[in-house]
Amino acid sequence: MAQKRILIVDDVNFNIEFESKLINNLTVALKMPIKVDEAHSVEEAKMMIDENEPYDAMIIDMNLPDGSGVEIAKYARDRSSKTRLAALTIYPNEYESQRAYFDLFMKKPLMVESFKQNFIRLLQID
Amino acid sequence: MSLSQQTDCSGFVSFAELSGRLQQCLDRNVPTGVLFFELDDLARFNDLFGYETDKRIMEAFVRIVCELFEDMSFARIGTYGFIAIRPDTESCEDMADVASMLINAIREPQTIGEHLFYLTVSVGVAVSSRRDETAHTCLKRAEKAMHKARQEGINKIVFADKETNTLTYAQEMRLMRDLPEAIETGDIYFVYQAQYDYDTSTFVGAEMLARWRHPEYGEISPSVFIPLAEKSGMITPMMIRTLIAASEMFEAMDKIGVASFSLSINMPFQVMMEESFLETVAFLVDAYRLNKRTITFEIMEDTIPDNLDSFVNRLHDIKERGFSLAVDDYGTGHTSLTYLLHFPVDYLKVDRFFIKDIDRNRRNYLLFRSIVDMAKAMDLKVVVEGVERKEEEAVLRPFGDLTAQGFLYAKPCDASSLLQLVEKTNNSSKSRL
Repeated sequence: MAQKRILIVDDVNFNIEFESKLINNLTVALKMPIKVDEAHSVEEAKMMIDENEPYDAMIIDMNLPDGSGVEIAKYARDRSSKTRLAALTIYPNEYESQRAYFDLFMKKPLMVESFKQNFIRLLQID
Repeated sequence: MSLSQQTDCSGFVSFAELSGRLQQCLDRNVPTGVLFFELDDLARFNDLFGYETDKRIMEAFVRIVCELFEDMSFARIGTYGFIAIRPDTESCEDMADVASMLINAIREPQTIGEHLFYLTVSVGVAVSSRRDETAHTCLKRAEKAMHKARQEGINKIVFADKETNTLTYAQEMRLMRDLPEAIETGDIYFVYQAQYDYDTSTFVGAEMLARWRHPEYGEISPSVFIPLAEKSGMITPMMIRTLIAASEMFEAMDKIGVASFSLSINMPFQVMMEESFLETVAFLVDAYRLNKRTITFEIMEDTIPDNLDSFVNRLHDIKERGFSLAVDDYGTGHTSLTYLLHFPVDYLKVDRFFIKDIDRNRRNYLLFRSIVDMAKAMDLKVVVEGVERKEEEAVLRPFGDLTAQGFLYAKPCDASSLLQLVEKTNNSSKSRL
């Protein structure tokens, strides 16, 4: 099976680690190779998007020190229409008007089972 | 037609109207007394006699209230509850006098149809004069007092906590909103209270306790934020953070050469009973290398659910995954012995209540001794809490095979202080051997 490539954007290291571990855990269960890249700011995320082949999926924290996750979503969408985009936020209601930029909204704090379920939806795996 | 429309009583207003009047008083700093009263368990009447009787009892009750509270406003809340307010009332005692009149008035049995009914009521009393208290929080305080009154018996009057002690509704909402972020950013953090082993004179474990340093309000008491976390579904994310912090502590202990160290974590039963609890724990054990580590989940006696069967099954599942279980605050609950019979626990944490002054109070000593005897017979290890004085230790040490927690050994401290303490104590104990 072709490797899936994911970009996680979050300024909190704990979240990146936690998500990576969850994805890693799923890799085993789904028997699907997944490679995770990380970025900690809008700037860094844009750089990663520029420098790499389009990602299969991105999980983007909405509240970043140098801007909003929406900016990254727009940038990623311009690069490729195929990248699946998930927003990660504590307050989904506040981003109601920006829903269209994302395929999926995920709620923080992260919970193990709901993250896995959402991740599978994000990658559109049956 | 509602009850208020049926009764010819000018003081009987809608809830919205009453709440508005109370708010006006508070806005103008007018000291105002509030009564929150509820008829006890009328349901038992309509179980026996049907809803029509129930309705007629309520009508009779409203007539009594109307007569008594001529100079007050009152409104109905919920099925059997009422609120009454009286402006220009400075003290709870003044309001309590009014409440006593109410209780005396309903001592007369009510005749409805061919039956006599004896009514009882529970009353909560609050007084407020503060512009910064809302009508809502003031009523909530009175309601809370009413629930307390109900617990105390029948026809009881209980005064609400002072307004300064309670969070305002707005503050509570604010904390609830900030909670998820606090879990993420580390504003909710952990402290550790070390546990001392008498046999080896070393620290063998610690209890993890959550703390919240709020950027605006400062330290928030766990007695405030834990219930909020339970209410808002944030208790599971907190548990996840706790277990991850535990994995970091184990790693740090490894680095200073402490191979066996246990961490105990308070585990509300709602978390344990959650559908995905076992999967979540399995993931954490796997991803954060928690296997083969000594983690004890502490169950608090007073939070144990009524449905024991599924709870006991869950406890067995948890044990099978290699965790230990402790009953926390042992001896303060009501049915401790039943639990010991059914729960696959490893530890009893004996409440501080038994330990305090155990050197001076013979009854405490005797009770404690019998707890230890029973624990030994049932193959349970004993952890004592709240050891504060040398004299208490002198009584406890001869029991042997005890682990002790208390200010005499260590106060709750941050991770690096715990590491220092353990390194220092355990090494000096090794060199003595």
